[in-house]
Amino acid sequence: MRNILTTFFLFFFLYQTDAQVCLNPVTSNCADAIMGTSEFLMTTSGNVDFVFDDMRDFITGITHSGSTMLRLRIDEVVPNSCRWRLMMYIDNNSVLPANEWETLVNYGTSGQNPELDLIEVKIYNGCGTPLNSGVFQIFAGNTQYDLLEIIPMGPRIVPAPCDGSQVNGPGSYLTDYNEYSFTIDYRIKPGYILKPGAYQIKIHFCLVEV
Amino acid sequence: MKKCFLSFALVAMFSGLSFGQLIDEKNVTVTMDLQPVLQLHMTTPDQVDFVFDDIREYYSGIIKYAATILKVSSSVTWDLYAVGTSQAGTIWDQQMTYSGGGGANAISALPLSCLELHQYEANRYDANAAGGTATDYSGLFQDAQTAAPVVGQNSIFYSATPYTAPGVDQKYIQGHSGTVAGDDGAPGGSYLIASPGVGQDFTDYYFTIDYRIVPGLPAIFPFAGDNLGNAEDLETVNAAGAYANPGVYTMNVKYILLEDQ
Repeated sequence: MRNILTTFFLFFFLYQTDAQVCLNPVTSNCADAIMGTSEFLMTTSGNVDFVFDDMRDFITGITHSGSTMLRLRIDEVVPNSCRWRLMMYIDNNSVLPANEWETLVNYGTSGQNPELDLIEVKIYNGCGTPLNSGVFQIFAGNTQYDLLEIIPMGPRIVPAPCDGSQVNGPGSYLTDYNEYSFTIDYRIKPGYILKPGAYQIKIHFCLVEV
Repeated sequence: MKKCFLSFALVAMFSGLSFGQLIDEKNVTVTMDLQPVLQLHMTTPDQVDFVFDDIREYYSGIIKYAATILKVSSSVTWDLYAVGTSQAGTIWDQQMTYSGGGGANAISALPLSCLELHQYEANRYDANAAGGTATDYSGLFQDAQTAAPVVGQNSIFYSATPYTAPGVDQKYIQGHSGTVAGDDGAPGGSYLIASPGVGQDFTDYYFTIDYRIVPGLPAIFPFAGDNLGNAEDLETVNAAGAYANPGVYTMNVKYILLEDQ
């Protein structure tokens, strides 16, 4: 009996997703995406690698288009109450200073370490529902855990005519692909002032009901 | 006690499954590999020939204007230097001898410093230079007939170990020995997109190189010298009455682009 209870509690606490920025919601109006019927799916090509080994790349930058795709299916539990928020935030693995990429290795000595606002992201879907849809943006706060809202917290908007509204009600990519799927492009234009080396960051995508 | 645990477990289970909250997180790792890239584009003939077959050319020398054009692209702070070298090390390689080797005072060991360079534009990042006649090759070629030449002013830096960068008392085309920020190395950039600064005709990434050799008569190469002002003409190095052995000579000029050091 004790083993069963221990297993149960371990399972129960693992189930409580948590992160520095992706905070637990205070409502339970939507079905959850882990054990419930909602879905939060991501397809990506593993690491998004930017390799700058030619001057043309340094000048023009490198863009990885459609590297990440998010697909949502949101079911509601409490009728007419479910709404959600989708955001992304940047993580440098807590290295200091908090505004720089994590350095894996340096190839030289001259130049500056890259800062977090170097990477540009463009989020879009067929109906233009993301905030600043289709525009390259940076993490302007330039610090660890800086946020970019994709679907910000706001009044409940159910799937609408495809008009760019920030839809945040129940729905599914299966029946409404252009409002419940999101494509993310990444771009880096390093210029000439950075120190040669290999660097890394992590970008988190957080879906949470509000 | 068991009932108490069981009750708690059931409550927890129902709260977790029936009233689950929508929250989930995914993540992507982004890596960036910034490799140091230094690219030197050079437009030049395969061989720059100086043929002295007229007395006038011995006196006035031969100049090859803009025979070499250098274009730089670099992702890091950089230096650029020219170095003369040869198989013999610091003298020209004699490929052929005319007139049976000349007279008793004919010298075949011609100093590499008899080749003069003129660069356009000047070195703008040479603050740490010290002790030399010139920090670069931007000085105009001196009058070939001048009575008191400043020896070594435009003479090429030469070395038997050409990949060892010149010291603080030697000439660079851009940048200089040392790593004083903003002073001893040109910033990363490219001739492709850079614009000339105020008062500049070219950008920091584009140079034209003129070549000159003045044998003089007798052919002692009066302008040859090192960058410390020591004359290396044939009479000074050998003896009064020395002159160049007629023949065919070759040397190699290397242009080295490297990260600021």
